[in-house]
Amino acid sequence: MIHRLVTRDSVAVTGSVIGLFSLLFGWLTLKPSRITAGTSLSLWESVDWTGSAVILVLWLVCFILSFMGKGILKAAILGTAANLILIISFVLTGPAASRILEGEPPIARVSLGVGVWMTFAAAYILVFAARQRLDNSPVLRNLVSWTGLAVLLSLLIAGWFNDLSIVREFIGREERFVQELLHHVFLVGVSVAVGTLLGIFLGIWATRSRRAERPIFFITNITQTIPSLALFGLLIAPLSALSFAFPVLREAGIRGVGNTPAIIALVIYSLLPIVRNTYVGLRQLDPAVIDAGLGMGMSRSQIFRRIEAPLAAPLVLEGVRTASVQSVGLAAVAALIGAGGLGWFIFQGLGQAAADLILLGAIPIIVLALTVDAVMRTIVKFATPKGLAGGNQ
Amino acid sequence: MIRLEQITKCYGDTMAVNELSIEINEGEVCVLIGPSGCGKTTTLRMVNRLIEPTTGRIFVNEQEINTIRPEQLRRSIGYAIQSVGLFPHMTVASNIATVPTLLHWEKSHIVRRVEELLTLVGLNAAEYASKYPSQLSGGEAQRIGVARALAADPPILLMDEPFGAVDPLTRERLQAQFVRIQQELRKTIILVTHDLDEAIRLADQIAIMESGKLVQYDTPETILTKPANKFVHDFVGTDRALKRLSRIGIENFIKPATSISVIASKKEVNSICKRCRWVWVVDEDYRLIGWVDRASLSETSSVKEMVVRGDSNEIAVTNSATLRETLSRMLGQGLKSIPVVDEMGRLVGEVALGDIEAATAEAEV
Repeated sequence: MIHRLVTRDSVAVTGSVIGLFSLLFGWLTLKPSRITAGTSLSLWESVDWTGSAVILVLWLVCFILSFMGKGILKAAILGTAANLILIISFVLTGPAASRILEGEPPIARVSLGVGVWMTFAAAYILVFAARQRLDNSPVLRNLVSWTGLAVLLSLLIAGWFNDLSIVREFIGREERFVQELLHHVFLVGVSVAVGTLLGIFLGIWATRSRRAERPIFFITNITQTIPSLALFGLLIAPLSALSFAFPVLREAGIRGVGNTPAIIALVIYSLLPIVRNTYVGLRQLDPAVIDAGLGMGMSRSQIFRRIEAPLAAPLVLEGVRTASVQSVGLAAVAALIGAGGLGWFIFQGLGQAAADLILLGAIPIIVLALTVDAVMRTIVKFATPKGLAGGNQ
Repeated sequence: MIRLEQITKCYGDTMAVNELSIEINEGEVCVLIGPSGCGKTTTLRMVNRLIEPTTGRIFVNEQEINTIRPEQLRRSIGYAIQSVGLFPHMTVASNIATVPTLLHWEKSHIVRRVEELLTLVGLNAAEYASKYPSQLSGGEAQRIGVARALAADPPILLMDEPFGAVDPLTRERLQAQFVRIQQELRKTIILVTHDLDEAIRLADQIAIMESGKLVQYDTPETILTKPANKFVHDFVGTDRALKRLSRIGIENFIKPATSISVIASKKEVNSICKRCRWVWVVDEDYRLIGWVDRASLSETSSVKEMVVRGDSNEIAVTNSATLRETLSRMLGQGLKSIPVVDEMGRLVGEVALGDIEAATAEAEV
C-alpha cells in the first residue's frame, strides 16, 4: 500500500479537538449571588439551538480542514472559521446572560464557564496555526489574528456584556480599576527602568572584570530563585528598621510596606535577564572587530559607543523585554505588601471568594503582559542594526 | 622608517619575541614569516602599540613610539588583519571611512576618498558603498579591509595575513592586486604571513623568525640562494628554483602571438600562418575565445564552425601572472606555449616554455 503524504496540521487538530470538547462543558454559570456556587448551563441551554449548531458545524469544518493539507486558501478558511466561532460566541453570550438573569433577584450573577475559556483558547490555537501559513500575505494574517479581538473589544465597550458578572465587578469599581492599572504600570515601569540601568552596568562590569563576573552572576542567579512572596515579605523588616532609624527616609516615603519594597523586589528580579543578556551581547562580539577598531586608533570609549553598544543593543533589549513581561506578572504579588496594582483585585477576590473579582485583576495582567511583550518586540526590531538583520537591507 | 631595537616580549616565563632588531626602509614591503608561534604577529602588533614590548625600543620616523599617544599613533598606521574585522552594523562606505571619521575629515572629502579606495581595490564604488559586510564574499571583505587600512593614506601599513582567509584563486588575484597597488602607492608595509610563496612574491625584504628570534633578514633572492642556516634551508624547501620564478613577472617574456578572427575563412588562416598547426581565435573585440586546428579546416568550413572554445581563465594567463604560475599552467595542460590576456580578456601575446627554461637556467648561475 502506498503511504499517503502526511498533510495533517497537528496544531490545528489540537485546536479543533479542544474546541469540540469545549461544547461538553458548561458555558455560563448562574449563581444566586457573586460568592456562591451556581448551576452550570451548557452552550445550548445558554444560547439557542441554532447558535450552538452553527458553532458545532464550524468546529467540525476546522477539524476536517486540519487534515486537508497546508495551502494558503485552507489556512485562510481555517482562520476565518476560528474568528467566526469567536464572534458568534461573543455576540450570543452577552444577551444570553441578560436572558438568564431575567426574573432572578438582583444579586444573582452569571459567570463565564469553562466552555467559554476553552473555546477562546481553542480558537486562538487555530488562529496561531493559520497565521503561520499566511506569512506571505500580511493583510490576511493580520485580519485572521485581530478580527476576533477587535469585535470582542467593541462589544465590551458597547456594553454588550454588562450583565456578565466580571463586567459587573468592574462597573462598581471603574475608578479603582483605572487607578490600580496605572499604579501597576508605574510599578513595572520604575522597576524595569532602574533594573535596566543597574543591569546594564553590572553586565558591562562582569565582562570587564574577571573578579566581578562570578559574584555578580552568583547573586543575580540566587535572588532569582527566592520565591516572590518571600522576597516581598523579607524586605519589610529591614526597610521598616531603616525608616525608623532615619526619619529623612520616612519623610521621603520609604517604609517597610508600600511601593519601596515592591520596587526593590521587582528590580532584583529584573536584574538577571538584563545582566545576562548584556554580558552575552558583549561577549559574543567577534574579537577581530574590536581588534580592528583598536588597531585603527579608536579609543576604548569610542569602541564602546560605536561598536559594542550598537551590536549588543538588540540582545540587551531582549533581556529588558523578558524582565518587563516577568515584572508585569510579579507586580501582582506586590499588592500583598500594600503596594497596590492589579494584584489588589486578585487578593480582594481571594478574600471574598469572588472568582470574577480575581479575574478582573488577572485578565488585565495577562493583556498588559502581552502588550508589553509586543511593544518590546517592536523596539528590539527597530534597534537591530540593518547589517545584522541578515540578507538584504 | 621603522626601526625595532632589541625588542623582547615576555608572557610570564615564555619569550614571545627575543631581542629582535630590524629596520624597514621607506616604501619597502617587509614580510615577517615563520612557523606559528614564532612571534611574528606579536612583533607586528608592537609597532602600533597594541602590545607593549617588555624591553627594547621602537622608532617610527626616528620618533620613539611610546612618546606618541596610542590612538594617535594607530590613526597614522594602516591596519589590516586576516579575519578582516569589518564592523557588521556599518555599510562598506562607513567601514572604509572609519579612520577619516576619527580624524574629523570633511564629509564630502570622505565620500570622495571612499569612492577612490573602492576603485583602487577593484570594486564598483556605486554598487559596494551601501552594502553591508554580511553581503560580501570573503575576497571582497578582504579587499574592503585593505581599503579601510589605506583610508587616511597612512605612510605605514601593518598587515596580518591579509590574504589568509580566502581560496587560493582569490588569494592569487588579491596578491597580484597588492603588487599593483604597492607599485602605485609605495607604502612602508610590514606583512605577516606563514605562506612562503606569498612572502617571496610580495616582499622586498623577508624576515624569517623562529621561536621569537630573527633568523635571517634579507631579500627574497638571497633567502632562496643563500639560506643562513639549516632552519631557513628547511623552511624554504627543496623547490627553491621554482619558488624564485614567482618573483618574476611574465611581462618580459610575452611574444607576439598569431591569432585569427573568428569570422575568418580558411584561406585567411593559411595566409597568416603557413607552418603552424593551430592559431588562437579572437572575437571582434580581440578577446581570446579559443583556438583552431589548421588540419581540421576544410576548404568549405569556416573558423567559426571549427573553433575549439575555451574560457580565457582556463586556457590563458593574465599579464600580471608570475612565471611560476605560468609554468605550472603550461605543465598542467601540456602546452609548449600559453596565450596571455589582459584584464578584459583581450589577447596580448604568448609565452613559450623554452623562454622560461632559459630564465631559470640564467637565475641558477
